Amino acid sequence: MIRRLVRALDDRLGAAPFLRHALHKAFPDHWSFMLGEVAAYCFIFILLSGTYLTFFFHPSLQQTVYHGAGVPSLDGRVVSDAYASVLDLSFQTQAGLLIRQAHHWCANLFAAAIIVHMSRVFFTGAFRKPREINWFVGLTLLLLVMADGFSGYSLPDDALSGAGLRIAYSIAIGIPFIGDWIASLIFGGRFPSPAFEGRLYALHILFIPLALAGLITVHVMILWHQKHTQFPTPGKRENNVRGSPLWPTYAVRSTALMMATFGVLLLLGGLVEINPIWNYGPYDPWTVASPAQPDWYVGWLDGSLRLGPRWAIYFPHHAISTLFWPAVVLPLTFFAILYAWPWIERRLQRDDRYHELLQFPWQNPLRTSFGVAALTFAGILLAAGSDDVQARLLSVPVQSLAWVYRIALWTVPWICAAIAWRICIELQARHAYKDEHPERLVLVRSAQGGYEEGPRLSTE
Amino acid sequence: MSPKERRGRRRATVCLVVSMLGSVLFATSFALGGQTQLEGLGLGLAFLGFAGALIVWARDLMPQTKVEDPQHPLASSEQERDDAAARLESGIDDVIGRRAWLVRLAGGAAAFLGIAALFPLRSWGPSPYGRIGFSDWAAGRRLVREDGSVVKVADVEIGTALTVFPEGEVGPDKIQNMADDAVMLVRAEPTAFEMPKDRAGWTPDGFVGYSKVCTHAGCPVALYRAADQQLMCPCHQSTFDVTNGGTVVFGPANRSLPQLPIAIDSDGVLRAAGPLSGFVGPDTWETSR
Repeated sequence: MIRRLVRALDDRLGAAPFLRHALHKAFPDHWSFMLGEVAAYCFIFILLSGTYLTFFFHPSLQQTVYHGAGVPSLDGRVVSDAYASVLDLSFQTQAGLLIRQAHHWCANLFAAAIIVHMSRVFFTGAFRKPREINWFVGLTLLLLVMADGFSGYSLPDDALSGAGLRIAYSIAIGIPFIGDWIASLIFGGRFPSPAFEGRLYALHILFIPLALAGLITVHVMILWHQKHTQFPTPGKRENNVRGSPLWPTYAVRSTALMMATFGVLLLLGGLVEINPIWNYGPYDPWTVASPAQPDWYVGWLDGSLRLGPRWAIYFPHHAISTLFWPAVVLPLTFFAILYAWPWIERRLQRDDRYHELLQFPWQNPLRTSFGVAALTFAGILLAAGSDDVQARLLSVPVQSLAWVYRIALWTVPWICAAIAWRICIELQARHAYKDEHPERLVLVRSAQGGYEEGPRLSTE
Repeated sequence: MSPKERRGRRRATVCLVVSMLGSVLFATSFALGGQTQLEGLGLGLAFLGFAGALIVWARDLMPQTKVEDPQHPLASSEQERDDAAARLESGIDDVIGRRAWLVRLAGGAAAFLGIAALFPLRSWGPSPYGRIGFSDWAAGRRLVREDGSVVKVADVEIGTALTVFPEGEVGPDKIQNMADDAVMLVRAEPTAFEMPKDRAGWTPDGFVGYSKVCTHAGCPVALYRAADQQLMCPCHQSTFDVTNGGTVVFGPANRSLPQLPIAIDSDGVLRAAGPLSGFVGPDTWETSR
């Protein structure tokens, strides 16, 4: 049966040599190589759950009167068709709320999986030659996932995401020279334009997913062609790749990971409430939910806005908005440095060689310190994005907390980088010592309290 | 059968039974009318049980085969690289050759095409000029609530606030207007104010109005804190002084909230005594305050 199938495929595609080789392709056994796969499975899940949701969602800001049994407190209120359809698909459609919440959780996990995967790639130097291209593709995927998440949670036209869209519009109009035009063209007139909902929907379900699918294909094809990197443990060299075969070991493992990812998302979707838009209410531009926090992967930008300086620049007939620095310059600079990092490192360390073996983070203090600083910087911005909630929990004025974050943002990353550097140096010294002293002296304390030299042990 | 094999079989069996029970739980819950928590639990366990069984399978029941692939630099031979480059070059040469003038013309045509292709973008939205940052407020317009009802002096207690719009500019078809017209009307103790001199008479009976659109990022400045006489934006915590012309006291906003001069007519109804004192919302490139 299988033999016949392979023959039939080989007759038509000449696929047998490829199959023979591919089925025994070596996949490294370290768990950290599966982080990217979590992201890939998130993409599959988000595509399937999202398609389900499109069957029920109406991307329209047409005003209607809500008459649903789902949310009695909103009965008789004028709401948009989009908002009403999300309430209906949550409460009138069986399993609708489960799928919707799992979809939303999936967006959060998707971004998290990418960032953790990229951290692994960064701190072990997996992005080095010849893999720089896939580093760019990966960063672009991260940006696309953030954009898809933002466009997705802005669709239900609720009071929380509506305010988020207005902030996005305000950032757009603040761009020097072309901001007014860009905002007017993209949003379809001044905010809130009824035309915008359909555009957001087209971006969310068509353009961005298509770009994601294309780039994920490129990402995996490059990975396949270049083969995996591996940790420099015994038996692994620059000129081999050791691991488990794709078929059957890795295929079974990876299917398990897919099932586990789906299972966790569905558990979260069923048991942990997310984005309860009936608590926020429908969006009227003069109302806002409080506290107002975006989803976590946008939170660092919100924090940046909160901490931003009051640097408006006024010319006789023009102005540069205060938003330009924290909302445009800062994120663009941050990502530009991340995109450029493979080159920066090559220049700084004068290293143009191929690298198939990874480094442990302590082996490259410069890279590790920079990565720690970048993550700390983004983490402080993310924390600052909910300073009002923290202020309430800690019973301190939000003003004081904001100043703490302002100062921390420009000091703590340096401190963390210095600590990381020091730890790397210490670990290097420890490893160097072990390499020089392959045997260890063991002292044994006797019952009388004296010490005697025990057996010599290998450090391995 | 080895003990490892036996243990693995036992564990995988438990996992698969859990998975089946999860599917049954989901289907039953769905058939009985649906309950989100039970559905999530059922479907989640169905997947996680299956995942558990596969993990046991891969770890305990299958042979731990290892394979090794050769890895070598992807770079081809110099000859190969030069040949590829030469083909590209000769192709370019075939196209361009000594036709410099024609090439320049083609570049021009491409530029024309690029510019022509930009024209459809213009359909995406109207010109922004004169549309951003303006409101419908003008002298004499009565203040109304979201439902269109007018505001009388006697309706508003000291220490409270409400959102008002110019009369005739409310309703489901006026949402774009309402977005920029919204004003926070606060009533404070008349003695509390320290207004600039040129705004004398803008706060009759302690009524003071400020644009509700934050000058930082456009969020509604919706939180009125009567104790400090401050308006605060819940999005980024910009805070404005109610008693002193809406000046910024904290946060990332750099500009005061535009103020609405208020008048009280002979019926005790609140009216605007003029337009808003400044540009509504955040700065844009075209703003000149």
